[in-house]
Amino acid sequence: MKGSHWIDWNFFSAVGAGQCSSSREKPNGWREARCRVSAAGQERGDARGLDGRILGRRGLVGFLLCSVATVLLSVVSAGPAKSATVRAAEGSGGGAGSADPTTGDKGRSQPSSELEEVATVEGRAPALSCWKTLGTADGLPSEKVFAVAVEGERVWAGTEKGLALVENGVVRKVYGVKNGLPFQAVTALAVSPSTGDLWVGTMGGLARFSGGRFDTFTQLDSGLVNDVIYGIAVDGPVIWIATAAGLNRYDTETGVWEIYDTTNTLMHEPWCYAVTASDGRVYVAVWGGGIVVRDGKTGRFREHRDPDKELEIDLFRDDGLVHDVTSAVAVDEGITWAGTYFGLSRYDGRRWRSYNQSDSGLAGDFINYLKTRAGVLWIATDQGLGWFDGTQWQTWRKGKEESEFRWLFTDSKGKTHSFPTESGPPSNTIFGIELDGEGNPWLATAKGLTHAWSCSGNP
Amino acid sequence: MKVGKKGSLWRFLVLLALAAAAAGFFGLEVLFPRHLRAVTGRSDIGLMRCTYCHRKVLEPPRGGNHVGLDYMSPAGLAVSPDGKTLYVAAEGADRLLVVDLGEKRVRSSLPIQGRPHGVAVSSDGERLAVTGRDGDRVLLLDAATLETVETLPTGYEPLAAAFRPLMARNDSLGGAAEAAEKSTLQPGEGGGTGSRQENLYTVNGTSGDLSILTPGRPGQSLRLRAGTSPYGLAVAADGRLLAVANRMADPGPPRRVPASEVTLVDLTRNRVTDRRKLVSAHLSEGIALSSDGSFALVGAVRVRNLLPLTQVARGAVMNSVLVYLETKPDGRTVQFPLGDVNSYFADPSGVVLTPDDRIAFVAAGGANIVIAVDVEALQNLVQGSGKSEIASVGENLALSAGYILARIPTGENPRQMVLSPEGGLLYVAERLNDSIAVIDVKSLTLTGRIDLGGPKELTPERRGERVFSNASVTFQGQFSCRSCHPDGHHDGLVYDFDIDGIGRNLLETRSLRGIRDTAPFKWNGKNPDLATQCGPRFALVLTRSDPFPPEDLQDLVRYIESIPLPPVRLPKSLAKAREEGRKIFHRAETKKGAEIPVADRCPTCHREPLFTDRLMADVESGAPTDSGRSFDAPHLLGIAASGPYLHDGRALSLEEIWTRFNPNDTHGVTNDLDKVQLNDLILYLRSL
Repeated sequence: MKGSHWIDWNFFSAVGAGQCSSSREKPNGWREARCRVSAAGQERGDARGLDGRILGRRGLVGFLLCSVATVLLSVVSAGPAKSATVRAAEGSGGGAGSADPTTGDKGRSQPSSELEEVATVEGRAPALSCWKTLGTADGLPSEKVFAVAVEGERVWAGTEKGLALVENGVVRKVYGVKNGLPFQAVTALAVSPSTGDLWVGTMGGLARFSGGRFDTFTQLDSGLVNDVIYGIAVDGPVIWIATAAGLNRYDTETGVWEIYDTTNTLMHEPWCYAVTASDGRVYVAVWGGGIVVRDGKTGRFREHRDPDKELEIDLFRDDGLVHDVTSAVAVDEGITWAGTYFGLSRYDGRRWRSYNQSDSGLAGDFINYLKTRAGVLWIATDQGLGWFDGTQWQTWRKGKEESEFRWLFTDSKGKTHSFPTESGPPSNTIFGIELDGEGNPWLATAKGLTHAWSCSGNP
Repeated sequence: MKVGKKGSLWRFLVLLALAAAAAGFFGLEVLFPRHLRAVTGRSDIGLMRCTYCHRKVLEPPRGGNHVGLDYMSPAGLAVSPDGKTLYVAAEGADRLLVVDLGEKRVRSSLPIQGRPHGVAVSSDGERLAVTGRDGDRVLLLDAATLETVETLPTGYEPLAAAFRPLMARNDSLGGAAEAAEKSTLQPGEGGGTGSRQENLYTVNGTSGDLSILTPGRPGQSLRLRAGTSPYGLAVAADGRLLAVANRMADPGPPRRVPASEVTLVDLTRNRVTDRRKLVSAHLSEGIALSSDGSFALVGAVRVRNLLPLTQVARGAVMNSVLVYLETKPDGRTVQFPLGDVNSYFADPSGVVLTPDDRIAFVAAGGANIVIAVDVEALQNLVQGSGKSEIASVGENLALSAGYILARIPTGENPRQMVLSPEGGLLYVAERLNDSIAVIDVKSLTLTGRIDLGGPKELTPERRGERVFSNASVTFQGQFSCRSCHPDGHHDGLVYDFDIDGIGRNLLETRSLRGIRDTAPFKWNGKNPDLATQCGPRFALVLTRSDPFPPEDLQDLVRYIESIPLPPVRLPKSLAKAREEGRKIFHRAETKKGAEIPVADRCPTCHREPLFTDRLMADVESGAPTDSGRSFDAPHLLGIAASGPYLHDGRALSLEEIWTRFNPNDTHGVTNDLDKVQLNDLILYLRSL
């Protein structure tokens, strides 16, 4: 039920049962909820009350609604200016460490069961309570991860210094120039669903990784228009490559390269920052040129530009693309999402809708990447990871301190709540997102490769 | 009418010109410096016959058989599950032959256009698959009626074909295989039979890939990247593993030790799982998998192309090997010599393995021999050897006595082979004999021969093809012409030919396709005709043996002249881009309007219709290790399939000719082109 609230009759019985402690007012005027989760209970996905009893279904719902009640109390007591922040789960039981089932590594991820429950009550927002980040200490060649791709149990991380293969949460192998990569800085990744070939975009050319062999393609030895690659899309046997000098089409069956740029399309600029293919169309985010769409049947191009042409402001809201400096594009279920350096746009084929950080729950206006699946949009920004299902927003963000993380939740009424959490993304600069089979995100960040999931679910 | 002094002078000059022209046409060399300069843009060309340029030239034929008569030239073989029928792809006659093995005669034949090469039978015997090498398709036939059930498009130049055994359908399939499996017709649907559910595989030589086809669902084909020029394939009995033998080494820099690959494909997921390198080995045509899929056997030629070929007199410049390859991850790959110290049994082709995995057969096409190998002996050597010993096995010619069971003489040019279902009889396609040899596996002797009914008369081209494919002319039978020019094409390697020290004058093997009217020959243009090219000097430098007898040489030349070009393979949708490329090829001005000197225009050296002016040219491609600066201008017909490029193969792609090796616009003016234009130009070249 997209965007709808999930209300259970247990709400009333849980509050009545008093399974959450009452909130109390703090000196600073905020109210604090005291709901605890034991480590043992968390490992089993159970929540416990203050008395240590594992909460049943009724109690669990009451427990999570306690958090909601806390939010409401804080709104009432602190007023709009302070309502966004609630201290939840304070104390030793509030953030008990969980075992990472993939590695047995304890203490790296921290659950935030209360937060999960609030999110669940509000809608279908995922509760990313467990986070695990792989860095150089874990075998990554660099912590700067620019791209990520998932193929079943295999996760590929494109870093500043090579390509890494991650299996079962462990870096299995690292590939560099000496292994056949055309260049060490990997900027884009895409897996062909039909052949399993991994297409690797770098700052120095394109590569196909198949059966352990890299086949390289550069602007000097192939029809590739430019070696600086920002995005790759696999469309059956055809590979689309977004480069710094236009869009390439490579037919792997005929071996023919075609170039689309300012000379033969509507592109006003050559810098193609992202490309995706869906339903026979190819969508290109052209930096400074909006979104260019190629119809596969006719071969014709259509462009979407910012109608008001304003670089600094969005003069007329929802009049079209929010800005011409596009950096990301994602398409699913007929909805086109365009990420720009100045906000997010949604296009359903008839109407445009724009979102900015100032007027929505958007994590940040500077968008690096978009990923959409089943009507849900994941947003990689320079201010954390965003999530949007058309109604509600979530943001996972790192605080200023090393171990400070926040989860922001904008409910269906547009109210934003901010929670401190025990874990989260290692950096607010997210470069790429890919979803695993469970729909949980793998993130390419400026400080490592991160996997996030609900501690109560499967990683 | 009065004629003054001036008129007499003109008359004299006209007569002189006519005389000179006549002399030129009749073979005397004349000098027309202004004309030569205007046409070639060069002033360094001296005397030249008019007929050097002004002659009737026909564009070479494309595809098909051009050896005079419709010889059968059997290629792929398949036996029906009941062992009663042998199917033969008669590539030379464009036919599929159905041979009654009981009566040992051809029972019927079916015309099939496009050079049928590979043939496979479904496990229930109801369906046949026949690849059309020039047609880029595979025909699915009803085995009983030989009627076409379906035509499935493949990659470019489908060669071998195989069905996936039915027993594999009980497996739990995943990925694309599962999707393909689900999409196939179920028993009873559409009057279907079980055979229709088997996946079909072809290896495609020119496009370098493996087609995975689902009969009944042509839109669901899938192509996986193989090695370079894949030629043979084998499917494990349990249907889980497919292995591909690739003929050419992977592209690489000229001075790198070549390595080809064996491609392993997990059929449960339709994924390439491994690409096993065969270091210093190439020209793999046949491959067999053990019954449990745990190992593969691959024929190959071990080549030392970076040593001066004068070393032929010292032996083992090329020697045939049988590669034992463990298919498990990180499994061992060992090259076992098939020759001995005095004979090398050139050009290994088909490889088959008995159902009990005990005896492997390898057809040595250049030696007219089928070699029987004791597989258990190979395994014992593998198990008992350390890593360093395994690496040197390929060099140890004395080893073969320990595992060669027999060398069985056959007719001309044995190539593909197939075993009877129970493994008791081996059928060998004697390609240049239009016959099938029958070998008894138990006694390892030739027990009979089935005549396929081709013409008995031997044309000069056919005789020449036999000379071309026979290694007896080479010292110790190390190689044949075909060893470097498989199917008249090239092997993609560079060789150190001359007696001038190691590493000097490396030259890439040139394709023989369509070279009839392109004399002179060799990269240095020193051989005025093919008879010279293949004559006594050839024996002195290369074969280190007696030269071809004159009549053989004459036939050989006729055969080489008959070698056709491949079909043009380019999507029609690219006609516009191709036309743009044609304009660039013929342009006389740069993008800024400056005139391009005649000598620097593409058509000057690459003149139509053969796209060569048959002159030497210095395009600044010479390396410090080259003795000369000028090289013969190669023709461009079929150039898309003849990489690497330039005389020493330094350009791995057409693009590199201009992006890396033409910095001063000495190989055509190209540096003003943008990438779109360069792509158009290359598209045009690919269409030639």
